Amino acid sequence: MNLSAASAKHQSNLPAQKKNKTSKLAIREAAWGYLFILPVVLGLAVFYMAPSAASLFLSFTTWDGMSTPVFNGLDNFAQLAADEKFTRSLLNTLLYTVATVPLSIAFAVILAVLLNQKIKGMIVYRTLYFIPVITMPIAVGMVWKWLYNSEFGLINFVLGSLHLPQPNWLFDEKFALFSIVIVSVWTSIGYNAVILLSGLQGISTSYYEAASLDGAGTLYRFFRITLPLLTPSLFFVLVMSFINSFQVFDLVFIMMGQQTSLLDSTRTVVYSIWEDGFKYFNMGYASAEAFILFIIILLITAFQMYFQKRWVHYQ
Amino acid sequence: MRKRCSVLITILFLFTTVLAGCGGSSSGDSGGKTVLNVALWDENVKDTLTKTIQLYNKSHPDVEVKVTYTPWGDYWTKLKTSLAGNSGPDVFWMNGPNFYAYASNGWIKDLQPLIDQSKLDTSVYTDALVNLYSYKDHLYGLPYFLDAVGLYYNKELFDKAGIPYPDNTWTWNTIEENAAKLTDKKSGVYGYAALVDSQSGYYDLIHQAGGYIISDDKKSSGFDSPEVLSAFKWEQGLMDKGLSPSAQQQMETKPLQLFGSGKIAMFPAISVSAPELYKLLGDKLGVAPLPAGKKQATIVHGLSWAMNGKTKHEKEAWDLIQVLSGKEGEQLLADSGFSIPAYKGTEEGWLKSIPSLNLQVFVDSLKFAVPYPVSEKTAEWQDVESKEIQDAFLGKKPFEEALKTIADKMNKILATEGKN
Repeated sequence: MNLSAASAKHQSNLPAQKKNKTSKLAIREAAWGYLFILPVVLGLAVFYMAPSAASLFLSFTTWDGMSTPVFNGLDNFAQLAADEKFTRSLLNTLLYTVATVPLSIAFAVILAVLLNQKIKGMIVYRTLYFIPVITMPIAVGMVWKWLYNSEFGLINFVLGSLHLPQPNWLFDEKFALFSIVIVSVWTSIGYNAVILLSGLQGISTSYYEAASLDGAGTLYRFFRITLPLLTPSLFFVLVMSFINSFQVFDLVFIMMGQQTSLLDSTRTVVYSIWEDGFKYFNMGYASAEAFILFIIILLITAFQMYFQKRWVHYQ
Repeated sequence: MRKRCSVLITILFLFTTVLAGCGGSSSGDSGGKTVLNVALWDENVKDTLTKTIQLYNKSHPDVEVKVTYTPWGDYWTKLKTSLAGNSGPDVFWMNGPNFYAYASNGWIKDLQPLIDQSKLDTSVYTDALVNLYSYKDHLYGLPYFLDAVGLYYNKELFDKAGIPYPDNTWTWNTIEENAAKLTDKKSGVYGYAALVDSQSGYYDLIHQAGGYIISDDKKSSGFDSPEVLSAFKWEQGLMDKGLSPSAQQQMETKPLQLFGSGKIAMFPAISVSAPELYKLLGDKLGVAPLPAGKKQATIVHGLSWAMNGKTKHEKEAWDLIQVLSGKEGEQLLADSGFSIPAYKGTEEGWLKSIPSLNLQVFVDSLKFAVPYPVSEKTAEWQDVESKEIQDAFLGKKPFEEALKTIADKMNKILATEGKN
């Protein structure tokens, strides 16, 4: 911001100078600009682009992480198509996403609206709801694992004293994935709510005043003003949630551990990548899985970008 | 102009720090001293190791030994990736399940020529460990310590039920009879823990039943035998009768935790668990040999010191290993109470480490020790194994079917071994 303003001023101070001199100046400024972004670009190139390219290359090879990779064409992908474990993990990830994303966003919208009021101590509430976001996933996973314990956990203790059924939350295949969804929703609400809150605060009060004059009620104002004008923030949150949700790993890893039998119902794609890559050291195969996940996320994001004009209203 | 210069310098400075961060060297020489890197995962041996290294430095004042402790969860990944980058520690801990892969791929050094050269007598080490760390009759790791499995029990619960403590005459039948008397459903106490775990659980039972896990030539699986089936049926029976926590309960709450809080009366576990269990139960803790099935058996596993296959300091590293696993080093380890030293005759210190516990039980049970089952692709078949066993324990399929599947898949995996 400051930089461009400064340079604009700089240029306006030199109206009499010749054209080619200005362009020299422009080149010089561009050079400085590139120099300034060079560290970031280098960082991206070294830590993101290069590994991604390497991973793409490796997905066409067999590699144990030690010896020289052996090119095997599309073998990895052919194997993946027939791999029950991978198909199951794709399905699990999809189920997880379909449950987590809408729940998390719905709760986040409600929370954001509640946090957008002018009452005393609001900053405390906002901080409280943001705490799960900055808590380490390991800590979150460990605490929830204990809460979920079917014999000694707090949740079942409460359910038991209310004479309600006490399910085995994590170690019953019917509930395991759902239990993880609950934790993910709990951790992601805070982040989504903060984004949405900033969206809410960007909505001009004049709309509400005008609507009130016309006699619009609270609900009517929410659905006709708040929600439509919140769509840009909602869109951002939706895209990010989908991406994060497709990449879920840590909670599953911490809460399910490596109980191989029960993992069938909770293993996600990234878990599967980790397992093949760093447990069995089939780096080529794991890279192929990662590549497929990348394509899926790319398609979903592109789809969302394309359809945003149908429902996203920019003010 | 000056301003521009300072900006340029700042940027350059940023770059150099980034680049300097990239080029960390792993093994090399600092200030004329040779640096040896040592890696392991258990910080409980830190004091012992410091003392042992001081011992080594007396004869090698010009070598600096740097020890890195990597938590178990990351240890093997980190080790493998660093070895792949032609760096990695010079001397490190090796365990049974990983040994074959490392030895057969040459990632760790064949120690046999060095042993022959220094005329080291390896018969001082427990046979089961020498077997475990031999590849094609050559020793690739010098044994450090071992752990055997014993039956821990809670004296208080036995006294309450008026039952004599377990001893070496106990069999599977005695366990079952007494587990029934010790089980108290009202207070949530189980008589015995029929473990879903391999090393302290079904591996021992399989051998006690007269079966085996992998053939001596590492070519075939032993899982599809009636003996193996009988071991699992016995465990399943105890769970069904409510004498042991169910498989699901065990996956959720570690049996060690249940035993430590007085909810299990008899609990098979490795000798390394003794200090931890003693901390939890104090003088209520007792230990006996594992009960016999058709015969007595206990799985023995242990660790050894291995050398990086590409180390630049072979001589220094070899001398260090000899000190670490030498008589004095092993005595230091024993005195710390960490585990049973692999060097025969140095157990004294370990036996005295918990006076109220008869740790001699573990040393005695080495007479019927069976080495921990390993082959080149241990990790792969163990994964199949644990999944199928868990499925069967959770009632997703009968044991007959699970064991058949394990044997088939394991045989297939074993057939691909030794081909790279």
